Amino acid sequence: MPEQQSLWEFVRLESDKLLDQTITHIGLTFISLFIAVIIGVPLGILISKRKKLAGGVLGFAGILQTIPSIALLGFMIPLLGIGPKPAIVALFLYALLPIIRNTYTGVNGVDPFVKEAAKGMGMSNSQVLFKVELPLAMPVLLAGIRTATVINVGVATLAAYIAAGGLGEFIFGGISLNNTNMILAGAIPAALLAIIFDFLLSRAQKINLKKTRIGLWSLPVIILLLSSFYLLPSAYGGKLIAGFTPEFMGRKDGYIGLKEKYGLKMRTVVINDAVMYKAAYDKKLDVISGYTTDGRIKAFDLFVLKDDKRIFPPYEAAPIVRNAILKQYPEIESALNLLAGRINDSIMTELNYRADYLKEAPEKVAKDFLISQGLWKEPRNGKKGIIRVGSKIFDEQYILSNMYCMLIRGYTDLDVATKTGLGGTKICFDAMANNQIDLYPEYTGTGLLVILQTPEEIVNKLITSKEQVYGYVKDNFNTRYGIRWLKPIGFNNAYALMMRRKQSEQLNITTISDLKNYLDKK
Amino acid sequence: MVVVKHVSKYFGSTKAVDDISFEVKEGENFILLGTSGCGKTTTLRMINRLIEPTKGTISVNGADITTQSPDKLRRGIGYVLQQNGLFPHYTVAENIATVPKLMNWDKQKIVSRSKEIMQKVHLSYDSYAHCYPDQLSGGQQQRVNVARALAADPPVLLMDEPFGALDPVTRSNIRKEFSELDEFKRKTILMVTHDVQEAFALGDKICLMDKGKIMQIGTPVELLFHPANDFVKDFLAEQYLQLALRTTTIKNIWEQLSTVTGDAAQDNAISVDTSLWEILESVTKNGNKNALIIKNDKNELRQLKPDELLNVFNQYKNN
Repeated sequence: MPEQQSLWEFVRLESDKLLDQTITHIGLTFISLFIAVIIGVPLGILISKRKKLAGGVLGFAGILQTIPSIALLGFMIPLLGIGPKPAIVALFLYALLPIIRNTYTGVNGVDPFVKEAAKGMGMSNSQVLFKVELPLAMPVLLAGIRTATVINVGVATLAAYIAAGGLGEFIFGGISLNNTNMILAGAIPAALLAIIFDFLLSRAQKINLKKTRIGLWSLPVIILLLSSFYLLPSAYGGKLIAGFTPEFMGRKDGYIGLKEKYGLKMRTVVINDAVMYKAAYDKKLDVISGYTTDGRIKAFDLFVLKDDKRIFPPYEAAPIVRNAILKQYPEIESALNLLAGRINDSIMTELNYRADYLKEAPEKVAKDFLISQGLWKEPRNGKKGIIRVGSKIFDEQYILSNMYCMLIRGYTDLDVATKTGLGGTKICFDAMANNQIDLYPEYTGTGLLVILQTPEEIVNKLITSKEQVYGYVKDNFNTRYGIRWLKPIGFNNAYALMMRRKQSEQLNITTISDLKNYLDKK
Repeated sequence: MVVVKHVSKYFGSTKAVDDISFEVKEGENFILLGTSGCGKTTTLRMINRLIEPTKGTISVNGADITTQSPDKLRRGIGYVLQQNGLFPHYTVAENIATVPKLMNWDKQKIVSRSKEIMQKVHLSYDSYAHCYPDQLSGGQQQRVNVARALAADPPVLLMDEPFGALDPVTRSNIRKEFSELDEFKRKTILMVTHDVQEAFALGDKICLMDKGKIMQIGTPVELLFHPANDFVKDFLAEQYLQLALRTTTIKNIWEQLSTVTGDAAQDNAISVDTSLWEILESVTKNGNKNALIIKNDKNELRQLKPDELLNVFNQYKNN
């Protein structure tokens, strides 16, 4: 096993990226906060003057707050596409409620006698507002801004899902790559940002009430300054823009390999794979990192670039099972192996297309396929024991795990419990290593690189042969983790770069080398 | 100075103020007296347009108040409310400077005026100008409140229960202090109170209100001794004797006193402005049974024996 890299080393190596992500993160947080203050404070003042509006406005902002952040980002994509725009809008919507509510509460909380005195002294409505109500509401108002800031620092990590950058790139990259250092390198600065901003704003809250009115005016200036971080120009220009998943960005057989072996240099953004294909179809992205069996390749008419220098290792799918459970219930091996060799790339793409794009339930897709292959059997409703079947969080895995459940129920006297949707590789594999699931479909390449963290020289030797890779992971999983790789299912869900078919034809790009040459021209 | 003509204020179907008219002369202390909900505060707030009347007209200094913008109008009228009205985020000096600043006085003038007015309300500028209201006692806060209302030297002062939030001892001290203040004597003042004692102590004229209507307007003596109706009589009945004795001075009963001859001890002579209540108080305190010597403005002397006091008072009252 290779020497573990320390967190400090990781941070030093990736300091450029870290700085860039931190700056983007601060920029995202504050630009949305700034807009939320500009809109939320006047709105809060308005509803404190027109109480009839208060219920509606606060209710609406409250509903926005209850929408899960990922879902809110999802809603934004059809409207605003990907990148900073939808991220800023989503963050803005989250920051709105605390700011409106605290402004409203603060202004309402000003002693009515004091307001009456101000009016009675001959202050105009705006003088009452600016000289009396707002200064007195300021501590409460600032508390709202403080809450909004902390919320925004947290939610801004999700911006990495829609190509808006920020510290989420490390956090989600680290989760999918099983790289704790990477997770921490994103999570610790994010937590520190939240703590630091919270502390600074708590100081501002104390000094502002009486002494310094300069403090009051410096606040928007500081917020504006921090927001401008986001507007710093990005380092790479370029004709084409690529959107890669956080996992792909950090992998040797991903973007790192592309840079090393092909010398590919292009403008990249980090994006969640759920929105990546659509973004390519909508021409927000030109090149994406996809999977060769993904149903959306068919749905969005994408073209898979040929990996002419063979940097993407084979990713043959096969069920992996804990040895202990195989010993206890040997009959499951033959049930699971019923699928071996039955599904090739194009069949899997078709199945994925039905689930991903036509939105058929994975269960139905699985059952239809088993019936068409003559493998479907009525469940025996056996009570001999329970097999816990896991899956990662994408449709192909749901389909496969459903097939395995049906096969176990139909061919053995065992029952199954499903634990599907276990996030990325790390979460899924950890669940198995900790004896929380018994089996799930895994890919040989993932096993080789992500789980075994195989040294580079061995990888380079194995990578051109899928049989060798399968043999290597099978042996090593068995000895290291007590986990058995059963027979491969038949398809190879490898990484691939893909483009819109039309564009690839126009630019005459069919291989990754073509892409590199195109980018290098001028 | 302040003229109110046929003014009414309806809130929905309730008549908070129902067709009232009165006139306050320059320099007069005019007290709006009544129980809670009688319309006295509404009346006061209509004068600086914090509330707009439903009907009727009000003029201040001869000009209809609707001809001026409410903000400008209010800057020319001092306004004192209960102690909570100070701006908590302003220092004492800043509170006092509120109206002068709104009127764009220059800084020097504001400071010198603040010093002057603080001295008048017995607050040292050096020790208190830079304090915040929450660092002051209730009595001190109310002094600042009055100072703030007087800062721009407005000819008319509106006071809404200005001493209402103070404890009885502080209240009577501060009340006494203010009644001796020359600003207080000079200015036209409209004050709202529900405290009968306060009304009688401070008012040149008292306007007793009930359910939005005026029951009687008159001097304290008129209200006491010539009540316009049963309401006025009943309203004052509980404290009648004290009020009457406080209101009646020796001047009122001068004619009934016997003259003094010879050179009785002139040095201890009492002023004719002394109220019968005060005489009664000092007599009860000292146990003095000797005749009191009283001197009027023309240096004539007369005498009053303590046991005659009630007799004389009754005669005066029944006149």
